[in-house]
Amino acid sequence: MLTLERFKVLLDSYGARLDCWPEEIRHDARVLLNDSRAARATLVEAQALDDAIEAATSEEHSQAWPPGETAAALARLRSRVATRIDERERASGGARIGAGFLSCLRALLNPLHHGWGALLTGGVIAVTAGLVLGLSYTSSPPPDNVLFVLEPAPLSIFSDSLR
Amino acid sequence: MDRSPGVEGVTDEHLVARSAGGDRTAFDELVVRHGPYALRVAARLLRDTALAEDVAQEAFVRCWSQIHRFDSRQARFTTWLYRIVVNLCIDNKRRREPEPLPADFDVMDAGATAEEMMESNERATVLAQALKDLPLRQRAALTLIYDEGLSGAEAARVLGSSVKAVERLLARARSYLRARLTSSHFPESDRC
Repeated sequence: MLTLERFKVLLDSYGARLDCWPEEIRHDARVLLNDSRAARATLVEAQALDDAIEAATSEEHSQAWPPGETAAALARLRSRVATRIDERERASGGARIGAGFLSCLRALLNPLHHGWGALLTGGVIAVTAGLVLGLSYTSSPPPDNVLFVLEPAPLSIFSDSLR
Repeated sequence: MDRSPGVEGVTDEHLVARSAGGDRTAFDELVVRHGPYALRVAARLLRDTALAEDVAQEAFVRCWSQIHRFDSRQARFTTWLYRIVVNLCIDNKRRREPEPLPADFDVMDAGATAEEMMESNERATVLAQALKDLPLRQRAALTLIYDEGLSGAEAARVLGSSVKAVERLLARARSYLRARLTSSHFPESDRC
């Protein structure tokens, strides 16, 4: 049940157009308007203010964008929004590539990322491959002592001077 | 207004979901559908069409960058968009000028302005000026409910406040407008 006091409070907020009122109160408001002359009189007063506000706002709005300019304003909005999103996407794309490169670099440089085991295995493979290649391409036949590879080779400049 | 194929008749919720997946055509359709509203509300709150276009543009760009976080089950896209627009307008206005005095402060002064305006019998101008003088949140409440037909609950969500708070904003705005209008009808010199 809606009291006249509450009706006036709501009228002061939402105005005389009951469509703007909270849906759950509209029915009670209509019932009160049917029953109460005071409610109807208050509604008429509020309607006068509503009309004045509506006239003022519609005049103000007509000054904003002249007819036809509204469509142009919307076209500008679409175009500018699309351009700015393009710019953002390009900027974030560049940032993504940069971030990806840095992340790869970090992964390569950070042994903890793959674990020390992987680094050790890689090192052993590299040393073994170096030894095998060194033995295969040596010109002189291998001496009995396989440790010859660790001996320094005689420098040719000294061997020439000794002759 | 030319529209991209495959988006007409699609609900806002679907357009939002597609936009969140990076579909630019779907997002453009949201701009076409709700751009006029964003422009209109911003123009009414800022009273400057160039600024209103800037605000609407910024609002949609923010929507695009955050749309993957938006949950259509929690709120309507329009409520979210309106909230961004209104907040941007409030920020913009704060940067440009200080918040006006409370609406109920020194109505007599307002009457003096109205009296000058009465000389040219421009009642609508008096009220238009009074509308401009309203604090922005009161003006936003009026625009959202009276002009755009939002319910009190929707306007409360847009303004980030309670329904009661929105009702108070509306009541204060109407009271101020009524006072300004009364002053214009009955200037000080005619009152005794």
